[in-house]
Amino acid sequence: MSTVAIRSLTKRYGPGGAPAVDGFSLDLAPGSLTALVGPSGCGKSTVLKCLAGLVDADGGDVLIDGSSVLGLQPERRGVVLMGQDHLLFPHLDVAGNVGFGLRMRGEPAGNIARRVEEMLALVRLEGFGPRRPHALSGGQAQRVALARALIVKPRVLLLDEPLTSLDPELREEMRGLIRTVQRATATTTLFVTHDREEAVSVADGVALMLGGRLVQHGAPDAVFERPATRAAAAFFGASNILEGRFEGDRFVTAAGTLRLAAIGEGSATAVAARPEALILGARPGAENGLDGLVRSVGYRGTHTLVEVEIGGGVMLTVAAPAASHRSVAVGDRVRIALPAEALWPLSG
Amino acid sequence: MTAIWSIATPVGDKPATVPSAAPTKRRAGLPLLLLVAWLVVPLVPVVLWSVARGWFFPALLPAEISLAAWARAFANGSDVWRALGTSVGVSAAAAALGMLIGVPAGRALGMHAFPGKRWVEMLVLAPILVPGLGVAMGLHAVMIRLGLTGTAGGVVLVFLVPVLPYVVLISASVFATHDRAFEAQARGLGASSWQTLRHVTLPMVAPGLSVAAAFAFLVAWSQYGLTLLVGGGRVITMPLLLGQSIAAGRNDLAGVAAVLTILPGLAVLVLTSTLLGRGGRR
Repeated sequence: MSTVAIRSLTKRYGPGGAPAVDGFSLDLAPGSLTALVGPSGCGKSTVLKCLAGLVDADGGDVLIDGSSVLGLQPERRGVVLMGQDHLLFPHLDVAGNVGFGLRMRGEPAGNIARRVEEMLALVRLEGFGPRRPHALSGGQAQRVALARALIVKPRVLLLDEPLTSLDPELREEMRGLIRTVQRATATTTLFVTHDREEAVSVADGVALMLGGRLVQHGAPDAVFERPATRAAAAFFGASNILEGRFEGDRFVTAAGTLRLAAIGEGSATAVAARPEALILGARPGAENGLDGLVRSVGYRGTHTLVEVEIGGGVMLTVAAPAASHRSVAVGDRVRIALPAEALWPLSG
Repeated sequence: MTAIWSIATPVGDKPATVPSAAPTKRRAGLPLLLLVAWLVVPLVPVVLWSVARGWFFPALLPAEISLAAWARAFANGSDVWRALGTSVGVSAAAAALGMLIGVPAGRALGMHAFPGKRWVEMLVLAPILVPGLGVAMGLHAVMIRLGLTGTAGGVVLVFLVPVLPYVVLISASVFATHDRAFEAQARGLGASSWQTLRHVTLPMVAPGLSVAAAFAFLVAWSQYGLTLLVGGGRVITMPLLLGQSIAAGRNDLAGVAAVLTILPGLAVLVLTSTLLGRGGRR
């Protein structure tokens, strides 16, 4: 179990270009699984490449167990990167692939065979040793790649969108497997994904990266429900943003005054609310009720998205129960409630 | 370069223009049959010649079948044994030398982009595109100066002219499709750069490079004009022996020599399609 400290990491591709990673700092607790999430092009893969030694950082440092690894050759860092492409060596069978790292260390063949069996059992591929990589399905190949990565007991496991190329159902299953195996081996893991649901469902901690910088790092529910900035709110789907100003514990907007459970800092000029936290058709007199006009109704299977224009030209999106699409129509006057605990002040 | 092996597939796979209920297999059958016939039929008379005795016009088949020519060819100390030895020797040497020079060049061409790369590729191809005899005449003068005419060494050197383009271009395509991410993966798993080369890069490019080597050997094996010119009649390879037999009007010996000259080509065909079949899977 290793600790990782990334300190003001900076990487620029080409001279004079905008930095892909711009003073990025992040701490990984030993044995934890942290999701590094952000839109494509935000620099998250570059962070992994700097950690793995595939590219040289321009500034900052990466400390593993307290000592810098940036000056070390890739094979001396104890960092294994597993990507979207499983990259199983086509000339080796499954056992040869899984045992590769141990063979390079010169471990005795008997040891390797035993450890390979253990790892294959861990990823639920007992008996697959003699198979060739091309005879595996996408999910099986990813499991072999995971076993191959973990057999060397890396200090840090880096996963770069490992599930992106898999079918949705398989992705769900693999996500669970990665979680189980990561816990069983207590490997400090950084999991890069652009999928926010994947991030919050797989990780102990979620780090949001935007434009090469760390925006927020916290527990999955914290980043999901309490975004730090407007950009973080937008990324995690807290799409309702109300502009205004604080007066004590009241937040005054053009559409009305709202009470918040959380006290915003004096600087906060907006509050965010997730669509699924809002209530469509609130009783008269309910707290934080706002009247509005239905502008669109979109059936989504598990829920119905209703866009409501409230006073001041502000549009709010409510994720209402699926059946709502039969009872609500465009042009209806409705009352929506914004529960005090669902409102979160944004600082930036 | 390696794409030439796939020519047979599109021929068979292209559906006929008239959509009908007839199975595709039937439609693929005829072109394939024609292709095989095109390749095999010319070999039939050659084989017949080698075993024929008294085969005169207008007889469709030889009057008598005899293995006399084969027996003579493989008698101890025969011309055929010597020519086979010489052919194997100079072709293998030319292939080995060609690989030594051509693989690093192909690797550079396949993996790196640089200004003027297209021109270099064209230049590499030039020896196959321009008439070889013209180049050979110039080289002949150089060989005479160096005192290499009439020697096996000189023949090996001049064979590099047709051999190198094949080796360079095949290796270039091998390295162009080689994904360096595998090497990065190996390094991450703890392999040193030497171990990565030994256990990952080389095994992965080996099938493709074997094809390059097989081609190099085959290209050298089939040379006639260059051997005649630079060997000066003192280096007798199988194609030269074949030429001599034809010139001497010995159809039976020519038949034997022709079969023995063709066989390595067929062997290489089978070998490369096996290797490519294996290398193509991931």
